[in-house]
Order: sequence, then C-alpha cells, then structure tokens
Amino acid sequence: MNKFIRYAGVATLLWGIASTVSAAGPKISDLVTGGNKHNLSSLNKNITYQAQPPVAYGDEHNTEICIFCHTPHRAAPQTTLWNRSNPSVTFGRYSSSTLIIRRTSAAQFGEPNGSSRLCLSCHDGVTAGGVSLGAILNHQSINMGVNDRITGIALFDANKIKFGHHPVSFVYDNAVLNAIQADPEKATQNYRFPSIPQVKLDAGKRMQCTTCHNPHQNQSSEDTYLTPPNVGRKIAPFWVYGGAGNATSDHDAVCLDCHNIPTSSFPLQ
Amino acid sequence: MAKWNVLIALSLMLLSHAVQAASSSLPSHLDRQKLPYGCGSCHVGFDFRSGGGLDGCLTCHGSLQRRVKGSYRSSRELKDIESELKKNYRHPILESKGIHSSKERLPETDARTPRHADCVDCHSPHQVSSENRFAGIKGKQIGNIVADITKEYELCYRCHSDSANLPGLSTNKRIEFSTMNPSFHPVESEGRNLTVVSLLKPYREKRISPSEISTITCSDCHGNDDPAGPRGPHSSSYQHILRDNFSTRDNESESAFAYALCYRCHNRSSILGNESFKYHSQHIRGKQGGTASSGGTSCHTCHSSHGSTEYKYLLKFDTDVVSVSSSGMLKFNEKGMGAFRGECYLTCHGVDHNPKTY
Repeated sequence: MNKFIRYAGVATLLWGIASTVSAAGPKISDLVTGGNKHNLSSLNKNITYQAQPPVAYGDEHNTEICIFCHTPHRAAPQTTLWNRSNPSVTFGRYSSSTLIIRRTSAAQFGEPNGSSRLCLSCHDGVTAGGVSLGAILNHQSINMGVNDRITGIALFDANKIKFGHHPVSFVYDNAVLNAIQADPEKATQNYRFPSIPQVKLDAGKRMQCTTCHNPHQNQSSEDTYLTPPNVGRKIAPFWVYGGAGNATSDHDAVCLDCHNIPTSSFPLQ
Repeated sequence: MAKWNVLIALSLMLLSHAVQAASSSLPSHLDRQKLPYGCGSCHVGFDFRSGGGLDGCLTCHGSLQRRVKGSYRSSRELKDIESELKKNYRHPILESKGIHSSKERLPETDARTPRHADCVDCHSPHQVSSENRFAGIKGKQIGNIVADITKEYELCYRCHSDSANLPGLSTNKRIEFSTMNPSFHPVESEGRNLTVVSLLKPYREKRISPSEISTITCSDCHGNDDPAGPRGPHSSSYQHILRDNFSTRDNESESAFAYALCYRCHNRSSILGNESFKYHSQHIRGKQGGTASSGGTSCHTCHSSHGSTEYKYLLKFDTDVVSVSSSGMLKFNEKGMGAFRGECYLTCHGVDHNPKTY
C-alpha cells in the first residue's frame, strides 16, 4: 500500500511537471534560428518584416535589434527610450453598443493611448504620413525593402479597431467592473480583474495591447495552431502567458483570465 | 522495470481521468477536447466580427459543404442545422441576418422592430452544452429588470407572448397558458381538469407516481418532425413547427395521421369511442363516418391547443369554421361538473345549435 501511495505520488508529480512545461518563443536576440517577429534586424531569419542587409557605410543600423523601437539617447518623450514618431492616425474606439465601458467611462475610453499607441506606430501601417517601419527618430530611415509597411492580419487600422478588435486603452478599475456586474446580462458572465501575474493592466489601470501581448517575448513557441488536421492556421502571437506550453491554451488562459465564463450551467427545468 | 510500468500506467490513468473530467464538466464551446482552436475557433485573430452570428455558428453546425474541416472534434457527426432551416416551417434564422441586435431586450417593446430569430436568441454560445442547450441564455425583461429564465416556456415567451411586434395573427401565449384560465395544456403547471379520460399512460392529470407525466413543455409539441434530425423547434415539415401532423382544416377525414400530434398523448380509441363527449366521433369523423367531405372537422375547430380563457376542456371555437347560432350566440355551457354534459350555441356545417344539448 505504501508503495502504491509512493508510486501514485511520483506519478502525480510527473503529471504535474509534464502539464506545466512551457516552450517560449524565440528570444528577440535570437539571430541563429531567428523568428522573433519584433526583431526587424536584417540578420533575423524567417520573418516577413525585416531590414535589408547593409550595403554601404552607415547601413549597419540595419543589423541592430532594439533600434526599431528604442534608442539610448535623444529618445522621444512617450516612454521607454522610444525611438518612433507618434501615430498620426485617428483610430476611434471599439464601437459595440453592448460595451459597458463605452457607456460608463466614455471619458476614459477613446483613442488608443499609452503603450497601445506605441504599438500602433508600426501596426497601423501608415504612421506619420506613410513613413515606413524603418522610420526611426535618430537616424536616417532604415531600408525595409518591399515589406516596409505592415499589411494583412497584423495591420490594425481604424476600421478594425472600431468594429473588430478587442477594446484597448480603457480603464478597468472597480467602477468599471461594478458597472459591468450591474448590467443584468453581463452580470452572469463573471467578469473579473486579471489574476495571472503576467496579465497586467498599465499604471493607469488601463487595458492595453501589452496586457495580453509581450512585445519582446512570445511565451508560446507556436504562432500557428498545432492541432491536426489544420496545422498552420495563424494564431495571434506574443502572448504574455505560456503556462500551458501550447499557443491555443495560452491564448485561452489569457482570455478567460478576465472573461471568467462560468462553466456551471443555468438550471433549466 | 516493473516499477516504471506501474508508474507509467498510473500516469496514463491520471491523464485520461483529467481529460475525461474536463470534457464532461465544460460547456461544449469551452471544451478544448471539442474545439481544438479554443477561443480562436470563433474569435479568429481577435476579429470579433468573425465570432458569433449565423455564419459563425454554421461553420460547424451548417451543411457539410460549409463546414471548415478540423474546426471541431466530436465523437459523432454534428447535426446539420442549416438544412433544417430550409424546411417549409421554421424559425426564421437564415432570414435574420442584419436584423438581430446584441443589445435587444425581450419581450420586444418597440412595435417597429422586425421579427426575427437568431441562434443566440435561444442559445448562449459560451455556455451551451449538450446536456443543457439553453444554459446561459439571456433573461426575460420585466420592467427595468432582467429575470433569469429557468423554464423552457419562459424562453419561448420572450418572443411569443408580450412582444410589441407580435404579428397580427399571432396570439399571446402567456395569456393562453395562464394557470388562471379555466383550462390550459399543463405547461406552466399541472392542469386543472381532473377528467381527461383519453390520456395515454404515462400521462396523467396529476402526478402521483414518479413514472407519470402531468406537465409538458412547448417542445413536446413543437419540434423537429424528423426524429433523426437535430432536436428542438428549429423547423418541421409540419405547420407551426409541430413534431407531428395536426390538421386544423374543416371537412377533414379522420385518421391516425390527421391528428397524429394529439394522439401522442390522447387515446384515439377513447376519443372516437365517445368516452367523454357523447358526439366526439360524430364531430371528428362526420355523420358518414370518416369518408372525405363527410363533414368531419378538426380537433382545432372546438379546442385550443394552448389554453382557453373562457371554457374548461380547452374549448375554444375556431371562428373560421364556426359561427353564431340563430339567436346570435357563440358559447358553451357546462351542465354538471365533470359529467360530460353541456350545451353549445353555434352554427357549424349549416347546423344550428341553439343550443344543442348533450
């Protein structure tokens, strides 16, 4: 019996270890295997948006990693030694009429701001009147080749932000949570503040792109769904959480951290 | 070596147990065993326009041609709801595109709102499960509050009772089924009539033993006519989305098929054998006894299927068939409680009942 308990204990331990193993995505500095999409260096591999290899003296910035977003000197005032112009696009805000935050804290919820606006300095595809991804502040533009603007699924234009994308830059504080809970239909959906440590609001208690996405490090190694038969379908990258070691599960864990959808069913007689 | 075998076996047992537990306790759409893409199955790339809506649902629940391979895992083939929604009698779900609003509160208070039915009017996609297809549904509006729905009929009433946009020919089902009425089919509660002699077992006026059934639901009558098809009142080949045929026409030959819906619970032999009303058979079969155009009429000519605000025994005359008597009256008087005796004032098939007493 003791043996059984011991084996069962070890088995449980192994199962626990197996279930928490996670595989993070490539580091931003990984130039050998490459693949971190936020590393726009010409030395990176297997990415779409990438600087052209240096061809002349002065082009060596093309091989740098951080320069596309950060500079150690003469940074833009926004934050984090920022090296880009502010987006000049008017995006608007997610416009669903069912959105409680739209009604309860409209003053706090408008144009994307804070770190989300910094993300949009590349992801809007048109920042500063059509300046390319290589348009950094403190050097001449870096030649990005044909893919100098973000297009396709990674592009967040006004239309997508207004009608299709999760709202960002709204304050998610007690007042907002209470307002959501007070709505008779939303009240049953168990909204809550994030509890996974990696899922964070910003200093102003606002939900930003960075609440769910870590621009430096994708915590899941996959950027596509792994489950057969449709292996290869794209999944949004750079999830902050990698506890499950599987992009879909990590993605869902982040969603469900705030959208704590109850799993117990209403009793219907 | 043996120890490792035990260890591996135990690990597999624990793993399989964990997977099974997850499968059985989760709503279908939150179950990663069923939806390999998780939230991304519907909310692809966080484009919310791609989640929800009829097209979203039909990606998995539509026709085989429409389905996206690999979107779901199921031990059995999902039912094809899309084909159902093309039957003659249906909830107008395919027609609801662009009409449904996620902020609507039902019953509808604006008479100008177009009638519609969307998947999400009856199902909450996040919480629905095969065990509870209504789990998580929106509540019913009562004044300024939204009350939880716990009975199927309450869900149906959201559209079929007090809606301001109820079509002209539609009746308020809440009023028809009210337990304050002299008679009603036992949907909201057990019925009041204790002498329904035609009831087939296990149906009974009042439930005494656990095996007896004394209340019914809307979906006992309204639902798919195809027992192999998806359950529920999505559609039917029969009028009013009924699970069986129910002819409501006049001059109808009586047959097991003509009133198949009624005969699910009410014994045909008892009714045609006049066990309750003395002239039941004559009214249903006509004087010539069941040949076409013999003057037989539908159960519906004298009985409401839902309830009667005027009379016991679900009596309610269909004024498309029945008109006033020579003295201008259209009414039923009961003579002696539960004695199956009464009198009718009406005109039907040219026969003046002024009154006819039985």
